[in-house]
Amino acid sequence: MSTSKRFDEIKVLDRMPSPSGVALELMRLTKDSDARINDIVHLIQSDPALAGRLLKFANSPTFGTNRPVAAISEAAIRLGLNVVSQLSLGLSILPNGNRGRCRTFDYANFWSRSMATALAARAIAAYDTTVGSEEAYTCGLLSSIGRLALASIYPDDYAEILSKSPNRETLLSMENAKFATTHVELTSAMLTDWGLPQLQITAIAAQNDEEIFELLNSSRAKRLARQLEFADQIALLCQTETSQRKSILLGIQRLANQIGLHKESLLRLIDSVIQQWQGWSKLLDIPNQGLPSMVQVEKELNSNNQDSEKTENTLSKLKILVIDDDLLTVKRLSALLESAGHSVLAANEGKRGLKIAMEENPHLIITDWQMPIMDGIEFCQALRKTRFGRQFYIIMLTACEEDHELVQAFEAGADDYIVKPFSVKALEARVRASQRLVVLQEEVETEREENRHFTAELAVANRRLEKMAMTDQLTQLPNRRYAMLRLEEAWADSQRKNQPMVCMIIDLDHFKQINDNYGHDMGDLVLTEVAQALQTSGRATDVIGRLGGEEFIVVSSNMNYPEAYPLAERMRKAVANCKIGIPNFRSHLTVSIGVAASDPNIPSTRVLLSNADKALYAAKNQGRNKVLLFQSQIPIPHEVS
Amino acid sequence: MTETKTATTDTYRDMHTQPLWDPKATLAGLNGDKSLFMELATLFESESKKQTTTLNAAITTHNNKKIKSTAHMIKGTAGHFYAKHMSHLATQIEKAASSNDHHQCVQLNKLLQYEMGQLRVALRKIATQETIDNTDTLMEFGHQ
Repeated sequence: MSTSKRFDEIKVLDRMPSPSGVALELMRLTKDSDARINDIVHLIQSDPALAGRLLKFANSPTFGTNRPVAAISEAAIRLGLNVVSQLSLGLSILPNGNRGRCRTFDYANFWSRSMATALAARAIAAYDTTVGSEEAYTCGLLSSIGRLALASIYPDDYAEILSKSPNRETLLSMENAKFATTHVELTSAMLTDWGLPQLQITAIAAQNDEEIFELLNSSRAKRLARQLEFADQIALLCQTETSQRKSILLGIQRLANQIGLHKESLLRLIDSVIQQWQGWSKLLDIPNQGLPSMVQVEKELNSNNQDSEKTENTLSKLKILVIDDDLLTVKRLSALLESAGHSVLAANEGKRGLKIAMEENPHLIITDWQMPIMDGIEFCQALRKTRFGRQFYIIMLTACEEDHELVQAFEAGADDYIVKPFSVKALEARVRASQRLVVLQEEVETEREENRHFTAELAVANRRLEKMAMTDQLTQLPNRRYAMLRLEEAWADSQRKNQPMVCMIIDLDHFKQINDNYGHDMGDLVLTEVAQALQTSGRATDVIGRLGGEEFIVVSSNMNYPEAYPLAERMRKAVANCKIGIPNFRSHLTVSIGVAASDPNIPSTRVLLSNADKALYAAKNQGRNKVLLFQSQIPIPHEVS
Repeated sequence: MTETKTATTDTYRDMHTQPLWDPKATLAGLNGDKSLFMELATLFESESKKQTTTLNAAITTHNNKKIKSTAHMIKGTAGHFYAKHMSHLATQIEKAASSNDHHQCVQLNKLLQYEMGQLRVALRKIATQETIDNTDTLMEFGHQ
């Protein structure tokens, strides 16, 4: 069952509830003789259900207009005060302190989030105009309306689904299984039903679904989808506890950077959204948490960052490997280090220590010098020989401080040493030094990881761009540029190997008439079908590209005239057999094909192409739907019988 | 040879004028952790006996390499309790083994075994206590 059918069935609009605070205020306004339409519009803007009702009516055929309305204020002006008042008072109210029938759906949170998203979308649109501010507001307000719809129509089923969905993916999957649609699809269907412009509907769908976002061709819809995501994150920030704001704010800063919004402007924008949101929450009778200004929040976050960095620098807990054949040393070191919060692994000789180091990847290794089987020096040397082993911080335990012995330890790869019997202070000082290095190493590693990630993303983007630059966007065949490059390559290859090659130019017959009679959309469809037919009838090694308009090229390596003719004929027939699945399309598709093969008298690809072109025009002149070969020894192209 | 003899005699003489071990420094080296001290004292009982057996066997078989490594280990063990004489004797045995002076190894080992035995007795007394009430109690054990 399709979403639209499902939506037609459920017709949810009239059953979606509004917060009781809105209802009370509406009743007050409609009784107030001084109330203006703007006051009512202002109130409607706080409620997705009411806003949807108003937009639907304003976009209905009753008010016959070609241009869809997406701004609530515009819809209200179109309808007039009386109609708006009547429509608004027909709202369905949630009793019991905004607790609805769907017991696990957080109604208050939904309205609060919708409102914050709308306010943020409006503020963002003022900085980055993709659509008007009021239209952006509507997008934000209605971007999750499908959720309220499902909660309203299937309160029990949806309550069960919500209680069992740990994350968004599961929720969508369970919604699909139960209702044959998801709240994302339902949102799109509802917005379509309410007559919102396609751009907004597409952007909202793309904001809710990454796959749709990736498939979007319209850069404007993509931009609006990004803005809505940005707005949604600001709304999330409004509803988040202080301890979790850091990561959200970082994400918001990234999104702000994408639209060139500087940090100070961003903080001002968020502050203004929060201020408006808090005002609305009172009216909606929805609880909101008191939020400090974002400048203050950012300061707190920075201060927390510094504190946590400081803590990390001094108190970072390490995984430490102790290697010593003296059980008392192992016992003593383990106890002292564990009491400082570190975790300790132990080995009684170097070889065993190596194994543990490789398996457990400790931050720090404290090893004795003299041990059976493999001593501390051999252990260091063995570890440092490996790329993996270079990262460890190694402290050598030594019985003496003779220069030559210390030099030997450092040359083997030790980073530091402790003289036995060691004092607790000396041990702590050495461990602190290693902690600083470990923190730095981790920072470098994080940066490297980010760089790797960035490089990978860049490589993917480059590959995509490269592909786009070489691909005809309509037919997805190689474009002229790519086909010409491949022609040159094939030519050079055939010259080098002394092998023949063939070039064909294919032209769709009477294409202008198709465009004139059926329109350009149909023309595009025909070109796509022809491209598909050519591709499926060609060999895997042939390069089939679109030169432009209705003209295609085929480059076939290691081929001569006797082999080229059947291939060209196969392509001609494949196009002739093309069925365009449109009921009133009555044209028969045919192509004319000019074929030119390389030979010692042809000096370049330019001449080869010219020969194929000549053969093509001869085929056109001889009645079209024909394959003609150009043969250099006979200058006039002729059909091979 | 003369040098080692002198050192041995000196060591033996010093034994009677200096404490067997340093309880205060030992406890400080454990960050004041008395229960850890008790654990180490118990561990010394078993480990020192193994070390003694190993060293005796190495001396009997003239295995200088083993004598050196075992004496080195004993030196490390002594370090935990700041048992200076014991540590010094172990160092002397390491040196004697390095210079293939078997006779010195045998002589020094006798002194070392005595020292280790004394320390075992001292620590055993502490280990049998349920708790160490205060550092003064511990200090008394240092002068056994």
